[in-house]
Amino acid sequence: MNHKIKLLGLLVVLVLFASLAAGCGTPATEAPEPEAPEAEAPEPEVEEPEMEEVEIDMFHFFSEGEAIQPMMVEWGEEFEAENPGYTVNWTWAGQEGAVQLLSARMNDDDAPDASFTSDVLLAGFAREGVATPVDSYLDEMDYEGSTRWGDTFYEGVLSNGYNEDGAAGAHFYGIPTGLHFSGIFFNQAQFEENGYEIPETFDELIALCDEIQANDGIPCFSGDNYANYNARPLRYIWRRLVGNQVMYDTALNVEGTSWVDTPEFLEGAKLGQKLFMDYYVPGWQGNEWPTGQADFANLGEAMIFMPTWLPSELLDIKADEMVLDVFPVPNIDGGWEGAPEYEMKFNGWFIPEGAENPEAAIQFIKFLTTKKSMEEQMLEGEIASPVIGVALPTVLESFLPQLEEGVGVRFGGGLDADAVEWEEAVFHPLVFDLLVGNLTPEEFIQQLQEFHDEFYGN
Amino acid sequence: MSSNTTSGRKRGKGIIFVFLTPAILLYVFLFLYPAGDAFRVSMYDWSGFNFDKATYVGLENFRDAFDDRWLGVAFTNNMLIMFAGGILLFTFALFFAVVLANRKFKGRTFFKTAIFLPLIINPVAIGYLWIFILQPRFGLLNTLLRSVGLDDLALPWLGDRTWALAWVIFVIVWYFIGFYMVLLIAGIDGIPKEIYDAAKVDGASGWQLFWRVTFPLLRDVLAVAIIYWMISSMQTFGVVWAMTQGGPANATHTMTTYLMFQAIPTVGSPIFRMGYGTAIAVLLFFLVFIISLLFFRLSRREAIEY
Repeated sequence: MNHKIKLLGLLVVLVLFASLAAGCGTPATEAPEPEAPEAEAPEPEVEEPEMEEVEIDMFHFFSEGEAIQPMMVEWGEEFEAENPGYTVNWTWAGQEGAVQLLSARMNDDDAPDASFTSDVLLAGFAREGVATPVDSYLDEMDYEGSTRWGDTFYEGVLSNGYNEDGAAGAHFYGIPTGLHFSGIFFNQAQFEENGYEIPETFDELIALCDEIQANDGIPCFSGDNYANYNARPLRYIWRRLVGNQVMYDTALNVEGTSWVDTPEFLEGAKLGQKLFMDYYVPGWQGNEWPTGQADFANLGEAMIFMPTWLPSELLDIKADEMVLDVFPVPNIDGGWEGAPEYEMKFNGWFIPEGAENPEAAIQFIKFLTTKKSMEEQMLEGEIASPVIGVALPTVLESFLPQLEEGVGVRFGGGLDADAVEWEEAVFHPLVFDLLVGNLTPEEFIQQLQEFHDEFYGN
Repeated sequence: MSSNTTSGRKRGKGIIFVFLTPAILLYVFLFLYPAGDAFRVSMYDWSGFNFDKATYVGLENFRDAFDDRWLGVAFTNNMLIMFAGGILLFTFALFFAVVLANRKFKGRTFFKTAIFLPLIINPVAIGYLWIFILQPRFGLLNTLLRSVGLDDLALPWLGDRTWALAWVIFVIVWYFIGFYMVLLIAGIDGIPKEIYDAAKVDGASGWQLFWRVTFPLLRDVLAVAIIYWMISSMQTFGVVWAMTQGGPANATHTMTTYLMFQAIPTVGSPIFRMGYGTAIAVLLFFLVFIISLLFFRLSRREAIEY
């Protein structure tokens, strides 16, 4: 007991001593400074306004080290240097888990200031109220302050970020920073050697395929396995026969539309089936990704329908003799006579609901869409730019007339964005049966109408 | 003395509780709470974003699930994997286990390792490996078939509905066989040698030894193995996702790949139906639960003691 009292006493003494010491160190009032001899009054110091520190939270679907990711980090640093007070923080979520991570963050009230997206995903984000309208930002001046920002983009590309059925109404919801076309890739060396011409119509394409298969003994086209990819050539054919809007409206069950009553759908189905059954790898039945690409890259087939990100995917696997080139999907004689349409997909940015610093993020996205940044991206990443006046990568130069004069439509014609469930449940399975010959074109159209009615009936 | 013992026991129980608490808390927060929450989410039409905007739809997602023809296909595929795959898997796993449990068998370590090896590789990588083996033009299998003059048998394996499903089942069985083999070997090793010796003295043949001694005494291990297979076959995902992504024409979807397709939007398939996907997950939970319960009930017998 005594021992405890002693210990307590010691503690009290220690505390008192410490208080005393602290009191000695910091006088309650500072002693006045001795007056300085009078001198010339110094210029009153102009207080610099305190710089506001802004952290921009950018969420990207790339993984670290992927594609042009290191370049994006550099752009962030350049932007910080040009705009003191701004800090760009990146989240590299990786393709596979990006949407889940974004959803988890947003559900946790931790929305990033801007998120990467493709135009197709953007349509869903807009519809579900995840993305906010960006019209007012597009009306602002660009990064250099010389032009209305929205006017710096190709109209046909920007329009893919416009969503009629967005949760906040019909608005622009996304800003493009990269662009991919859909085309037909071929081996330029093979074409030059044999004097093959680039086809401008589907008839010429069929004639070319006959020639290739007879001369070179290889199938004309390589296959792929994504249901979405398989359906693309058929959609391209339909679009060239009736225009995108008719196909889109029919798939979305707009009143007065019908698969059976529009003869071009049957005509397109016949052409699509012929293309697949006669000119794809014999016995092809769809499931070949990524081996189909690998086979094409090693001269197994003459051509492949693919978006223009293909070159980067074949970089390490293509044969030395392969000189990769691409041409736009040809038109159909006597087909659609409206404004020329071309298939494209943009990658870009949107401002998520609940973002804390959307203006700062927009400022950085403006920086990303300057001609300087876009040209660097084109040179380093071989990525086409949505910004007017930036040259296309050499391999894509044949797409320039389309970009300048045509109307951009999504790869899936908008069905891949606005009628995804219909596509998965009705369209893709039936397209498979058409393309492999399980259904005649007539049966296909008939069943398409039946399943379509059943789907919308439910 | 006795009061000391009682307080010691109490203290012991207290300590057990202290040590168990973290595990119980983890179980509650990482399993029970999310599982319970899934039931709640399954009753909403929800995109996966901003739950405040979700609409309560009651059991509508479940009604949709019963009307969904592709979910029906996926469920049938799960059943095929479970039963057809299960018969294949346990036939081979048992065969390998019996052969490789024999210590006189030369090279048993090599074979055990070789059969177990696929299991240490990621199932997605396994799926991609098989895509290249089955590629119709330059794949290993078709090249082999053509080299021996069997050109007619060189089919587009993964492009045909029936063959694609058959290969998916085969690859899943091939992938898991090592695991069940090891499990059964452990069971066989646990059977006392004296029982075999006694049977041999009674003149039992090798075949009789298997049917009258090994197989009955493996019953408990087999029951655990079968229940584990039933559960894992209902949750099959990685191999299917990598090999076919549910194609061609939705023919090889399992409930989990289909659930993924519906719930998680991807660049290729931006479907925003987290509520519906969760309803499928809840159905899957009940299915696995009922199957497990049934099997435990059917296989309930007194434990075998040697």
